[in-house]
Amino acid sequence: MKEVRIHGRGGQGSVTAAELLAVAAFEDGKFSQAFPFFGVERRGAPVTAFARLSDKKIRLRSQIYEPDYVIVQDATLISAVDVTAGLKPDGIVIVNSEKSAEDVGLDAGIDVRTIDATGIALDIIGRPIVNTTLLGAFAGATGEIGIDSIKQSILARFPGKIGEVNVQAAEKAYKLMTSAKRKPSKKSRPRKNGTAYESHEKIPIGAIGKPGTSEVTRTGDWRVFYPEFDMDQCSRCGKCLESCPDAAIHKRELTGREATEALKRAEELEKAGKIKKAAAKKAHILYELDPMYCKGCGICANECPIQGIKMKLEEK
Amino acid sequence: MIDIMEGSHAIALAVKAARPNVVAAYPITPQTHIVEDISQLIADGDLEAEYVKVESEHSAMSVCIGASATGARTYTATTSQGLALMHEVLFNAAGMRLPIVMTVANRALSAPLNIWNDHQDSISERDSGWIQIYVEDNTEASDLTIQAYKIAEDRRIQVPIMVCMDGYTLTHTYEPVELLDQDLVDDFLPPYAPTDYLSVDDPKTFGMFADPNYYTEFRYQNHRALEAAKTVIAEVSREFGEVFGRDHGGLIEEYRCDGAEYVLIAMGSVVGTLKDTVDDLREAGIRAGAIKLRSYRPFPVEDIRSALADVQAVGILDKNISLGYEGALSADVKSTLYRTNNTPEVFSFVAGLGGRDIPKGTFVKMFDWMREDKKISTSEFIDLRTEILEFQEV
Amino acid sequence: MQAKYDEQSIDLLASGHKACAGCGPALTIQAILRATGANVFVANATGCMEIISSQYPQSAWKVPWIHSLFENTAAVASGIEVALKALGRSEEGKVVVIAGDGGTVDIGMQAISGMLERGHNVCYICYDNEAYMNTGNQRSGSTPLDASTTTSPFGKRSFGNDRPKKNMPAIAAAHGISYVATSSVGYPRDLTKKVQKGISVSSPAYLQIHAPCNIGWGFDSAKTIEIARLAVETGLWMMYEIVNGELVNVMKVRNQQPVEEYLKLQKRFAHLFKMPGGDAQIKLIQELANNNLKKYTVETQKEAGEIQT
Ligand SMILES: Cc1ncc(C[n+]2csc(CCOP(=O)(O)OP(=O)(O)O)c2C)c(N)n1
Ligand code: SF4
Ligand code: SF4
Ligand code: SF4
Ligand SMILES: [Mg+2]
Repeated sequence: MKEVRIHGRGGQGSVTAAELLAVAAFEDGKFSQAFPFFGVERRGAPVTAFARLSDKKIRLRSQIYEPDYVIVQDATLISAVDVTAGLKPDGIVIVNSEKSAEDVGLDAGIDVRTIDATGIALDIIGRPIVNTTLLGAFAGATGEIGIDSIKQSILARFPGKIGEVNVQAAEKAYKLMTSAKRKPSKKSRPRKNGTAYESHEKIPIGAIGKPGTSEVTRTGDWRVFYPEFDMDQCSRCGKCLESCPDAAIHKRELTGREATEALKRAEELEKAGKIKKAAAKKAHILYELDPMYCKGCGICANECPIQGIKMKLEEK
Repeated sequence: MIDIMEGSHAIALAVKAARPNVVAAYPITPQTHIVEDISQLIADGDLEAEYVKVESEHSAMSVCIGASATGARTYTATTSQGLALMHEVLFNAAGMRLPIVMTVANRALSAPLNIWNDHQDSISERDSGWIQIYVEDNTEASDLTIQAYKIAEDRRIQVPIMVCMDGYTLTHTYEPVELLDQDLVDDFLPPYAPTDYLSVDDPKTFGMFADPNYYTEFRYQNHRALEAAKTVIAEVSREFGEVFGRDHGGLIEEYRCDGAEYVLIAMGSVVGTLKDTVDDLREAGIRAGAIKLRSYRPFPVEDIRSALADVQAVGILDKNISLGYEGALSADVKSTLYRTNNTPEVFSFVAGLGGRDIPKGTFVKMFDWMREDKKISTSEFIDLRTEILEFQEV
Repeated sequence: MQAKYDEQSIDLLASGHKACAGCGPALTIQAILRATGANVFVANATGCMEIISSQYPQSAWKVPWIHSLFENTAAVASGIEVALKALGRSEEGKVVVIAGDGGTVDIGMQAISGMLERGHNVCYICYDNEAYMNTGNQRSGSTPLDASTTTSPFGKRSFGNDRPKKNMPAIAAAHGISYVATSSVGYPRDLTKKVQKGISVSSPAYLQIHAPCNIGWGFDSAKTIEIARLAVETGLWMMYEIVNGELVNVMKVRNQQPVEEYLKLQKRFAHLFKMPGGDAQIKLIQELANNNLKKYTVETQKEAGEIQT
């Protein structure tokens, strides 16, 4: 039996990937199983999905602690989740990243295969949906499943045009992977018992919580795009702040020398005709992005009356 | 001081003495007299509490949750369908560890509709995380209402509690009741002062959800609190005895169990009739005894084991039935006796459903079963009118 | 008394909550709490907003907050209010309910009716994202006509949800309460003003705030506010107050947009543009909008009088 663990973020189709994998294995004449860790995740939060492929009927129903393969749909997860926990000595980790295997931040002993699935998906599918691309990569890197079965399972799930472009993306990834050469991992990774326990703090009676403790969660990791502010044009209307569901935009008023300097610089820019008077007068007031929490929804950019906020693709 | 009054009125007076801040209740037979009397006490200015006349029992318990979490002492009462309607709210209150006190005027569950007494309603909520104590008479019901607050609010446990008193048989019976002296009550039961409550100055978050990383531990802590309640119930009962000069025992009361060969276990008001039956049998030379089980949850495993260590046979009266199996109390007693030395023969009886009266003769029949060592499979229905039964044989 | 606060920067719903990017309801809560300030007790019904903000041990709430169940929030809030009264703490803050449309117009209806009728000093705020989103976008009594949800999907024999939205504000108003208002996350100033009115009365108030959910409705997360505004500009969501039983302050729609402008941006209505018969359904929706605009008019756009409490 081979066990696959898929790490992704809510909305990236990790669960679908596991299901497609199971369907493809079934097409290959195997027994298979796919299931998510049922969480309450919203888009962006880390999710885990599992798949088992076997020649015999699968009875095991626990989560997967010692995977043969790990698929990482989003390289930013590597700093947040121990994605290689329990990986078998011969295991392979497939990471969606444009970086080289050495640079994604995993230990040197591990057989890491990177693939720029986001690039491929944007190219072929037109949207950064990487799950099917990574399945192609999985087939190529592991040889556990034929690419034809992967194609069949994708087409059965997404009929028509959408299915076709997804298949093309998967095929491209497949080819790239089969041409890459293998470098087996040397050691197994320490296994974690169950899902990661976040904290070992003593629990209170009746699950009573402390105010604002959600701030430990860096929801900024979820974003694909980030808003870039053009403070030179900003009229300080505050609309962006009011539009942010995540309280990720803060207003800050400079004082003393800092304020004087900002105002002076703005005055010069205004004289040079580079910024508007309204902006220059309030140059000591800043609307600042908190990158730790901004999920990149784009509402602020959509609402900014002067189009002073641009959404840029986050470099990961 | 002692005075004669209806059971429901005694409860209303006890509630008044406990000085709750918030009362929320919805009328249902046979609990109605309790809430009517409390309404009158408030209308007359004798009890200073906010009484919320809710639109359902579900909301009654929900109001108690909101109020208790805000730091108020709360009270409600219900029975039967009302208790069943509260089901999900009961678990919620217990999980949030809110020390709400509720009188359950025990009554059967529909269908067929029936307004008379048995224990099916509260027994069906046995896993909700509430302490359940069953009382024998109206003085005990009244005294326990005071003790209940002290038990529930004990910082070591913080769990809600049901005072289970038989509908009609106690709620609607006039009998002399030992009254509660307000000064003594005030000494015994200080105002509720929780450590955690909703407040703007220290804004806590109540009722969070827990994922698989935490849920088991919260449940375990809750379970340990229920177990610890055994000690607290006994302590509070003793302390009450010292202050008020009367005491109703701990988790169980043993009646003439010394040297008894046949012991019958029962809960609630019927225990009085059982004690009289035991006296009669003893007079006739039969070594009978009785156990009044006061605390159904937490279940007094140790006390029952030691009380039954030397008896030959034990019978259990269940005024409930887990359909398709047997009475709940029987199942509990049997598992309690598993792997004890000299395990007695166990006889499970079901009687007194939906208000069917249990006279002494019914208990005599049960003792006869035990003495004749008749084999019974699961619960034996006593006083069953077999002549009117019709079955589709399968 | 309300504490002083920097109105713009206050974030009583802390960052790090787990709502989807661009969540309309989460934005609604940010706005509500900016309007109330810190002196509130929040009772929250089960639903998206509860789940995204209260996974132990992380709480996004910086105000006292309680979640009990799905349908009992109005009763829990009643309990808080009477407890504050009984304990002499009423001055500490106002009790506010935050609940979804499902928790309000469907399963919570009985408890709300009780709370309104009993006259509790509670401001009940429903964020209306027009379906049961927490459980994955099933229809509620507040789902609009023809919206495709997972339990009202379009299909050969279905145009989606076959009923128009339940008129909950009218039901609330029928209880004779002194303040009922509708608002939208697309109009933050309006929302702030109405929340402040709602908490200023010392009797029950009911607010329903239209709050688009990009996941359930199927639109680009950047457009949450834009879509909310379009709902108003088309006449599909009306903004008004009912003060002391009288309809007042209806927000005028000066330049009514065709409903298509609103529908076409959302996947839940996409089938109407493709299915045979879809155009007739769009006409029906247009009629609903037109009727709304006719129904919610006040002869003279009068200002509301003093709210009687
Ligand atoms: C008694 C009960 N029935 C069903 C549920 C499941 N449930 C939880 S939240 C929810 C839907 C919530 O919908 P809504 O109130 O509109 O809030 P939203 O999730 O859309 O924010 C449902 C059906 C429940 N928790 N309790
Ligand atoms: S993109 Fe969205 S989350 Fe980020 S700052 Fe703008 S509104 Fe807030
Ligand atoms: S919305 Fe635009 S103009 Fe207004 S404060 Fe923000 S960045 Fe400046
Ligand atoms: S599903 Fe909708 S309402 Fe729920 S958190 Fe996501 S965007 Fe918000
Ligand atoms: Mg909803």
